[in-house]
Amino acid sequence: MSSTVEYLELSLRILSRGFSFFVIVYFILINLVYFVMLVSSYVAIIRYLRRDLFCDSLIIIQSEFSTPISVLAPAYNEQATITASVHSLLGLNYSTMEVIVINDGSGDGTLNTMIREFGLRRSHQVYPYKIKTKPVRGIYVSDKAEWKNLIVVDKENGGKADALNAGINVSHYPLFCAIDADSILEDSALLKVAKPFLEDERVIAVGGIVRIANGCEIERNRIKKVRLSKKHLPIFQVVEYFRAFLSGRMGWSAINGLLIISGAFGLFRKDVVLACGGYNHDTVGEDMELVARMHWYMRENNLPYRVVFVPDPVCWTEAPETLKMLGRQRNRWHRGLLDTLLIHGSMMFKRRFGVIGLLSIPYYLFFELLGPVIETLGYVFVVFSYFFGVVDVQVLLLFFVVAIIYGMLFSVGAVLLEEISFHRYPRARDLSKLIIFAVLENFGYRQLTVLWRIKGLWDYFRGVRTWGTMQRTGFVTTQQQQAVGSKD
Amino acid sequence: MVTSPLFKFTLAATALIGLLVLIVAAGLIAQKVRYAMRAKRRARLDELYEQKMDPILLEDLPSDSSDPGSLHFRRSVKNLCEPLRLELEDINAFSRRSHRQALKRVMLGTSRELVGETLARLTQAFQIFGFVDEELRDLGSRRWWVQAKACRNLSLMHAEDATSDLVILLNDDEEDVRTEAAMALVNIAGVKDLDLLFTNLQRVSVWMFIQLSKAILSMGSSAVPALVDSLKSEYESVKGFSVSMLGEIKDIRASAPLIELAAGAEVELKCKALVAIGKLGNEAGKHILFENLACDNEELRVSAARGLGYLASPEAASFLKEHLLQDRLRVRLEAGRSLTKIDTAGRASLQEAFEEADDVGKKIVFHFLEELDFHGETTKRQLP
Repeated sequence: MSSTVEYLELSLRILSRGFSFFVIVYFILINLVYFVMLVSSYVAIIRYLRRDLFCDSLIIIQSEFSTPISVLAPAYNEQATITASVHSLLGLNYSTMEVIVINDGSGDGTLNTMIREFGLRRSHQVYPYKIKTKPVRGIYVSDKAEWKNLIVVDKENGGKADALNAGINVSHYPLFCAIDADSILEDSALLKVAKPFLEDERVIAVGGIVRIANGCEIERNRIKKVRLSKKHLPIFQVVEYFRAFLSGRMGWSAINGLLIISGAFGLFRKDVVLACGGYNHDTVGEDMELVARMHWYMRENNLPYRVVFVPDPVCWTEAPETLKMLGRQRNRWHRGLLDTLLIHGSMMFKRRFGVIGLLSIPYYLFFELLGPVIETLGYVFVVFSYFFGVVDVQVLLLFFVVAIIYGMLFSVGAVLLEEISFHRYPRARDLSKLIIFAVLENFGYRQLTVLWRIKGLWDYFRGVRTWGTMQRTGFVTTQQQQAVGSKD
Repeated sequence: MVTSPLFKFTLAATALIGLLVLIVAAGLIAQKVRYAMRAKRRARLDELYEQKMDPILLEDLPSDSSDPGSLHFRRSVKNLCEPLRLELEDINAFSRRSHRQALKRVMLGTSRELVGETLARLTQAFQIFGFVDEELRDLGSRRWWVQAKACRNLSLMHAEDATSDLVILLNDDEEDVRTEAAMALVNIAGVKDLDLLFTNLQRVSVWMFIQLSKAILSMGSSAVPALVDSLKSEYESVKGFSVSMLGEIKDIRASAPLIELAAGAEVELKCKALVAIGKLGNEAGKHILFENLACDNEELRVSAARGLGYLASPEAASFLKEHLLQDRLRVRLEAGRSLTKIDTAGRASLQEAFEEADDVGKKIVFHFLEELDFHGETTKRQLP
């Protein structure tokens, strides 16, 4: 009996050593990657800011030679907010553009609201049916001069990817910008995101930064003052978005290894997207999947190309304010990531796919997709080892402290990137809050996101392929804020 | 384990990183405060030098100094600048730099709002204070953004001494340097030395195209000889730029060279030339457009149809109708769009086409008639 226990204990010790070694190597690697990305992002942002000095927006706005853009905004049951969103899109600064709103079989009065507001009439325009979509029921245009660049496509429900594909079919221009109808684009966003296309003909896709609008003062679908939310959950997400966009995507963009362009705001070359077959409607991560497919297509055909991230053009979005909604969002993101990696995993470790095959896909697989699994295994292992007395408590504590300090370093580093570059949060109070939350997120919030992502993996293997409903409270306008203020 | 060197090292490293996080956090707050203070100081200095520039720009000059090109004019401006120059020299070396920077900023900012004799005074003053030499030095910098900024500043100050340096920078590796150098050259040398730009330029990106087009189009017909000459450039993008500009300027002198180019072999350039020929509105170009409308290449047919739309010759209506009835979808759509631009003959052809067209053709025609607000209920009922 005692020999069995000794045998078990010995096995556990060997396992413990092996796992500890694996975790330490993994930990060093992941932090090294994050550090390299932070530094390369810093260099890239400084370079971007220098280039921005020579970007005369007025010339692009006034020039008829700027590459025209079709803005695609899929809408599903957005009766309450659609007119404000469309007015906001029509007010964007750009020389030649059209706004295409795709009503994806809404069950509410989204279409009728638009027909009334913009005086739409049915148009019989013929367009090349290049990507297969659910049937289009009608195309509507306005006879009023101020809305002559608005097109509304009414189609049967087929999901966001299908709606975007329908928009691509109807669009007239060589570039299209995919955005969420409920997001807010800054006036100059299109100008900034279009510039890489104007400078370099190899550019096939450009992603812009997405920021959290919760807490900001909003008037007529425009951000008036940038403020942090009074609720904690959105502030954690602000820090998280800084890390993901300013530190992560900027770094990947610098080495042409960007694999994600947010579905909320991205500009694409239509001919390349058409050659790739448009958006894939069988995945919940259609934005990432499209970018991965574009990389695959360009590499496979030996075509020179660049996928660029621009840190300045801002798309403001409403972040979930409850744990339930945030959990659903992270669950879906993780399922989308897994789906994309399963579809395009074959590019991994193949030299002909360059940075994408050798760095991006392995990174997303080992650190982003499996990261939560390894972290959870680590927690389980620690508890297990503690009860069997095979782990030194002090070493363990030290490891946790190191992990947390590193987490803080990268979060504070991302806030630093924001502050030295764009400093969109003008109040010192907001900046101090961001620093505090960059520290606090390591105690609980990070672990929660790990759990949601694990749940995403679990759901994926259970066959869950739906988006899940996302309840949005809607942007709070300045007037509403003032009303709340006066009540207080 | 607890006392092992590795443990101690990790502990020390952790403490160090923790300290680093604290320093970064404190630095962030300090930076925010510093940023605000610097902005305030900058605004104060700018205001000061705006006032100090007033006498230089506004004080009356002696009557013999009215010609900005004359020696008297330069001497008079120098006299006006002398007190400020001496004042700057008296400032201690540590502060002088920020004062000079403020003066330069003010001068550059003001230059955008001035014209004529006052601008001449300002550019003269810029030289007197030694800023032109500074900028010329910066053109040779190894840092691209310094070079690009110097190009822009020299352009604003019409510094003719910079021309030869700017020509070299036209083919720099950096897009922004190339564009700024090209813009500066156009602004400084003007239409008289436009050849200098086109003979030395090798690449025109869309970005440079947009920036240059504004300056070239503002020159109007006087830019045509240089643009026509540049059609002989060995670089496709330069030729492409000139073709587009000639199409926009609509000067009849460009007709023959564009027709010649449209008869060439390079498809992309031919397409641009066909559209430009149409924009010129010269009937002499219609034959080459008809010829290309009937060719095998779809891109050329699309461009020819577009060109015919701009030309708006009634004679083109029947040709366009033919392609509206039977061709690839892109050509049919372009032909339909062009027919809407040819007044009576175009509309008549669209209505005829509606009777003769297949289902797709009927839809195309209906759409364009709809755009012209020209459709009747009869037409609508016949729609498939």
